[in-house]
Amino acid sequence: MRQILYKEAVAEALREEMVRDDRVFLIGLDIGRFGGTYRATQGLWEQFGEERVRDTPLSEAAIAGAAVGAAMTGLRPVAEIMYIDFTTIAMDQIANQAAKLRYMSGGQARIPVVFRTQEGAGRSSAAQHAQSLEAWLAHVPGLKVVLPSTPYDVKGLLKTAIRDDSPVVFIEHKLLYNSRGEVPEEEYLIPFGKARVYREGSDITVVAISRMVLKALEAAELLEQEGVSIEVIDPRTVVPLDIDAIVESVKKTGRLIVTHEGYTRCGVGAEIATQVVEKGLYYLEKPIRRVCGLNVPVPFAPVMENFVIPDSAALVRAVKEIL
Amino acid sequence: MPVLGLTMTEGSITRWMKQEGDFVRKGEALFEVETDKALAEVEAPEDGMLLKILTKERSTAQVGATVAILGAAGEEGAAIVAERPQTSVHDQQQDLSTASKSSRSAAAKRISPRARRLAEEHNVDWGCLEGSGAEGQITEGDIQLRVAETKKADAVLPLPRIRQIIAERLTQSQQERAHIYLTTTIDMTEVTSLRTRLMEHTPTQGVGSEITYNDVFLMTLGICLMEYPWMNSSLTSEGVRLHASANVGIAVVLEDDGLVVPVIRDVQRLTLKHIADVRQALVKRARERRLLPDEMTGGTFTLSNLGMYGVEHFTAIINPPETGILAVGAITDEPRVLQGRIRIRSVMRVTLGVDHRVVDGALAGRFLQRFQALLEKPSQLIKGEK
Repeated sequence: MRQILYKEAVAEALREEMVRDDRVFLIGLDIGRFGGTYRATQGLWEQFGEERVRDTPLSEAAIAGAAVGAAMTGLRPVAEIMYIDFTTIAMDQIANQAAKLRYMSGGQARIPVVFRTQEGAGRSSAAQHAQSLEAWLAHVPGLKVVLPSTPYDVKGLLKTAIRDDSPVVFIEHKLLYNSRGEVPEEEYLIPFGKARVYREGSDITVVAISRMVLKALEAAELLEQEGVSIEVIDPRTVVPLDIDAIVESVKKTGRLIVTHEGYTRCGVGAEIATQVVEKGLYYLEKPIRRVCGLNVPVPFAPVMENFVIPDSAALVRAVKEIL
Repeated sequence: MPVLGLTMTEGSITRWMKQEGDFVRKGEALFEVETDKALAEVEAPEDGMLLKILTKERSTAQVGATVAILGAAGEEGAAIVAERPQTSVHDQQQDLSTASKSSRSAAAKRISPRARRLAEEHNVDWGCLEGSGAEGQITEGDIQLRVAETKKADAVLPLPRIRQIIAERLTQSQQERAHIYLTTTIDMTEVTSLRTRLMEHTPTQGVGSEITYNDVFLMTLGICLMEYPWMNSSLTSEGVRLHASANVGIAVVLEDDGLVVPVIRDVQRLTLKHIADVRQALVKRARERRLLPDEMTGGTFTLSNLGMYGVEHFTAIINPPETGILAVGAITDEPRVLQGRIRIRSVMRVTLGVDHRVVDGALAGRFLQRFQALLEKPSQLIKGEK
């Protein structure tokens, strides 16, 4: 099958949906003429023009607010917040407006907006440009939260996000944009709330989010040589969460590790672990382990950044603790 | 008052090892209980101060009843008793039975939730297991091992009715009779070729009954038993009954389990062909469990053949009220010395079991010798056989 880059999958999904539906438009900082900081919208300005690929001034609150307003009037905006760290500036529009208006209008208003953003450490982007804040967004009722880990999932999930009538936060990973993977040329959609089992195993279940899926697969390779069988599951959407798939896996293995770059404390992993305890305590053989970002600002110095963000070695250590 | 035995309903405290106000450590002997079965020491379930003794020495308490209050220093024993919610005896017993199941464990042992679920599924009492996990934690593997062990354990099945009868009769025979056994080896080479010839010359080949070695033995026994009437007898309270005809039972193994012995009557009067017909019909009905009662009674001697299983030699228990039983082994090719030369011959071993109360070894020996002679020169057998 054809292989393309993660960032090309973003552009392809946007292009297909913009061709398919005139109401779909893009709005964000440097997404037009420049093609996006990570080149995820390259070529779209040229194809669709500045009416549908709108560059904005540097104001996340304005980008998000304009998108929510446009969505209320019947358009289907895809707004880009360049770094997830700056969703904090747009948080009123995202959490108080987009997430609430359908509910508060008694269903009269629909907000079919997609907030595209990216997160993750590994480029020495320092404390304000390297966070993984999906838990902030997953906490708010009314938002769907999607974290694709492969080009295939990017295309299928982004198209589903654009067609969804609810606000969706679509969180890409800055170190995955240049990763390559098989993506069908024809159209396909991936439903929300369906986890993907990347690797079947019998000893330990590793639930990994975003780029940690790749590291979990690396760890699984290493451990296989030692005769340890790891099952790697990517929930793909943390809201809605496919907890059933995770519990099914834990029924088999009896052991669970959750891993993400986001902070350990009150992270998505804490939510997954709690749900597994609620639904599958009597299938657990060992305590659940979280292999997640340390509870500190992400450092600038590469050595220290590597220290606070989990890697495959940290996963191997955790596996050995609960094997 | 803990349950110290399945049938225990109450216990009498014979001695308190600790007095009110004493501090006790978990596991220390607290008091001594006498039941209808035994005397046992009961250990303190937890660390604490013995605040109040409710059941004095030489007093009796129902199982599940509170016999003392263990608590922290300063707590008021009597107050705790007053505060305790009143529960029925039944509830208390239930509490206690659950507690006794895990009392050995809950405090001292840890078990993973997964292992606990597995234990409940398979009804494993994990309280008595040694954990193999960290700090002695009971793991899923420990429970799996226990379940596997349980599966390996002996199965206990009720003895089927037919086996109950067999057990009764054979035990009685063994206890009443003075069994002696005589074994000899018989050269079957000529019988083997005779049987082959007879079968070839049977005009209704494939229609009539196949002549088996057992038929040859039955016929031979008919002759021998007439010549040695004491071997064809029953010891009764009136004396030894010498039977006028040779009614030989033949042990038949049933498919699932059990053994029946249909009787072929008057074998001394039957031709080989006739014996084969009767024997075949009886065995067929026996295997179908359709034998009539009088087809299984009235035997005067029994033949038991395990040759088809390759058994070379065995002994059999006499079928009451008979006096003798012949145990026949497999026919095998063996080197034999004939007229000073080694030949390969078909031979078999037979073991005659007799009741020494009725006959002596010498008589039994002559009977066996005659049986051997007839089989080694079988032409005498088939005089008149067509």
